[in-house]
Amino acid sequence: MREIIVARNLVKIFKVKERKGLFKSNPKLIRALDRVSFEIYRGEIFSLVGPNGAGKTTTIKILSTLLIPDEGEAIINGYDILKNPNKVRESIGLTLSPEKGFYSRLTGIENLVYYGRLYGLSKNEALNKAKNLVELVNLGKDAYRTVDEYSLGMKAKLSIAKCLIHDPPILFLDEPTAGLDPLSARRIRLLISELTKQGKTILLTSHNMWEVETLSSRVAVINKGNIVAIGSSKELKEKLGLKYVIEVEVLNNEIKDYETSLGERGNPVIKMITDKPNETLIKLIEELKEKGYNIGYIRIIEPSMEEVFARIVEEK
Amino acid sequence: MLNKIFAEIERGFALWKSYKIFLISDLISTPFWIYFFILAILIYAQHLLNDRFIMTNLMWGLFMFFFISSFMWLGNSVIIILQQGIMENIILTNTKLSIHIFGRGIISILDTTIGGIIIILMSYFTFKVTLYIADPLFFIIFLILAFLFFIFFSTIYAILIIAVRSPWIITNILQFILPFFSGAIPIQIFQKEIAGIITYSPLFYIVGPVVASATGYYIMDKYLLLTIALIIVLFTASISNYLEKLLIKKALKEGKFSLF
Amino acid sequence: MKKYINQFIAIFSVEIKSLMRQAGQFGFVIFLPFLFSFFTFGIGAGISGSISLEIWFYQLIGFTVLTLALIFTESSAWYVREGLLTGRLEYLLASPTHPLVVVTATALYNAIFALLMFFIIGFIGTIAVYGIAKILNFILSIFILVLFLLPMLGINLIVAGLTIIAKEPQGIIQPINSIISAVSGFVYPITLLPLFLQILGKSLPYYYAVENVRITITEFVNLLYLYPLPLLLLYFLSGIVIYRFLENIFIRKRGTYGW
Repeated sequence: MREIIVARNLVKIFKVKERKGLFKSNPKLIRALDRVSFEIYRGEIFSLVGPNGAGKTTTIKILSTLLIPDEGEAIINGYDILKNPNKVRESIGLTLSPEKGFYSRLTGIENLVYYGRLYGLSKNEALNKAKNLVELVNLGKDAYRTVDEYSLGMKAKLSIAKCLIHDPPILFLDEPTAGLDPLSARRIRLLISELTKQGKTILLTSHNMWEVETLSSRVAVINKGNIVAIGSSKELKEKLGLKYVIEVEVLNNEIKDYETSLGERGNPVIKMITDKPNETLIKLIEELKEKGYNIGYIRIIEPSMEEVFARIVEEK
Repeated sequence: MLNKIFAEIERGFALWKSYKIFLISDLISTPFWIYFFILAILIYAQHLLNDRFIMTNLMWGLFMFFFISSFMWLGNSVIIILQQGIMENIILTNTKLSIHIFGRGIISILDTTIGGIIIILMSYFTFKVTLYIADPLFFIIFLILAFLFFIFFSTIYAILIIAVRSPWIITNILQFILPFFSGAIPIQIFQKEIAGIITYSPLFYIVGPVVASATGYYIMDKYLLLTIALIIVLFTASISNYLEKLLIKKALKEGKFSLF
Repeated sequence: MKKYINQFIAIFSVEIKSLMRQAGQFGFVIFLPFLFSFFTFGIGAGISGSISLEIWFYQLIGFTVLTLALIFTESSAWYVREGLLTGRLEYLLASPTHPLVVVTATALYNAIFALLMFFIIGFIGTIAVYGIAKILNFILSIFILVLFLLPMLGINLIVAGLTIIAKEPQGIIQPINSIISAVSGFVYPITLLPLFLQILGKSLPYYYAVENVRITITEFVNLLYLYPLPLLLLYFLSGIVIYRFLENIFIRKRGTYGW
């Protein structure tokens, strides 16, 4: 079976209390998820994006058995989250918020060995695995310092190592690079790419749209508890009819037939806005060749995922 | 299962070692607290400071106070692992809350042992009372039963106070009240009416026998006490198990850890 | 000067607001002396078979002064610690606020907290045991207590200084609390202790605070008991000196001013 994660019509309603005055409160129902469905294929990085409070973490918590849905079902690695939660837990590794989840007075290695053993590894197995993982996530000697001395970046690395301690086929990474400096974030991204090469399937949430676009093969946009769009970033852009900008620098000084602007190097640059970049560019180059123009550089500016996100969320 | 228990014990031990300053501060402060408690009580009857029988009983009572108190704080510590996001990770590893508490409970025993040694030394050097264990075999049996009981008791306690905003307030109060109603201070040294009230507490059949086996003054047949204690431990274990299942079920359903 | 007064009022009013919003905590602190005094009363009466309201009152006042002494001893230490953990202290020190203004403002807040607590508990206790007859004595005892808060503030500063340079405040505060509690004769006569502990108790201000308060309520102001006060004020002065000394050690270590 190609799908390793299947979510069908997931509904989650939370009861909250709306405070009224000092002692009174009114119960209020919040529909956090409203018939959320999607599939994730084996070995892919699938991103779930959406504004704050859209339902990303609730979805991840349901898929990782930390929440029971009010309606709907989900199958993880062939196991039903409601009927076989223990098997699901063995199949997944989860990071929720990197700054939490560890004993601050224990070292990184001690925390990893602890969790490894709770997952059923022997002491030696857990220790060997932990040592390999701290190398993999590039924690190095910091793994032997207590967690209370860790920076957020170190904790993020440790969280990913914790996810991998029992070698699960599926990883749920909830904003793994939030709050990290650019270098640490890049290291985590490289690690995530590396893990998919090793055959892991990853469900990722992030607010960094560039990261989402770079890493994931498919993206789902969730808003107010609904999946409002799903597909590869290219598919989403096409679906929304987002325009590409084509820039072609011409080395001749006098140009007829085309509107130009002055480029960075002082040469005229032709700019065209299109939703079919390949065809438009080929046609333009052929025309320029026929007319005897010399071409300098060619640049295609793609619409960003940020635009996709903004368009979808604002439209809804 | 055993692997998980050992993982929890090692984790507890590593944590215990990492708080060296607390060990030192415990070693310094325990003798002063012993003075404080004994004298605060015996101000009502200062002549009893020279009564060997009363002092022996009081010192063993103090030992059980340390015992109960450390388990109360153990239950309280569950709130910290919840706040630190560790609880969710423990659930993901399919580990029961009582196993988590059990591992740490072994370390509470270390704390109590240190307290016990200080009590023995202080009794001898300052109050001129030599503490002895009258019935060592039953002392160990009753102590193990008390340990098991308080593991489940701490689990129940943790589950009940998990959503309280300032649980330390409740723990602070109960750590004084519970030992009093548990027979930690042997009922023989109380007036009859007060002793009568204490015998209605189930804790009395868990804590009382530990002190009784140490002092040698059993209030009833020790085999009968053993049977009652065993029944209470089993009963507490089943309540703990039931409440834990209920808590996790509610937490998974509502997204927050609280029974209420 | 106006600047210092403004800073002082800002810190003080924030602390008072926090207190107002934690009424439960205040209620708990008031409840504690009753809890402990009834607890020892219960066990003591249970063992001895006799009921002594005078001893209960003696211990109620003792536990109250003990509670406020402990709050007063460790409050600055916790203020510093919490400030460091939450980052609030760095904001405070990034503003041109002198550390002693911070300490004085929090100390005044703590004094008000302590005296309010003493007033409520002491009033209930005095009425319950002596009726209206000793109320004036009780009110006088509040003034006596105020005098002894100054040397306590000195110890408060020393503990705060130690907390700055140590990693775990609780590791320092716990032994200090136990020593103060055991040797100061709060809830039993100091004479029940071995001689060296009696000497230790009599060299700290707490013994004089609690004895003077009790004797003022049950008898009247006794100057014989008040004589060590001028000497005890040295605690206040040495508190400031030691605090500044420890703070300087920290500055040298960390390379930054203040905490």
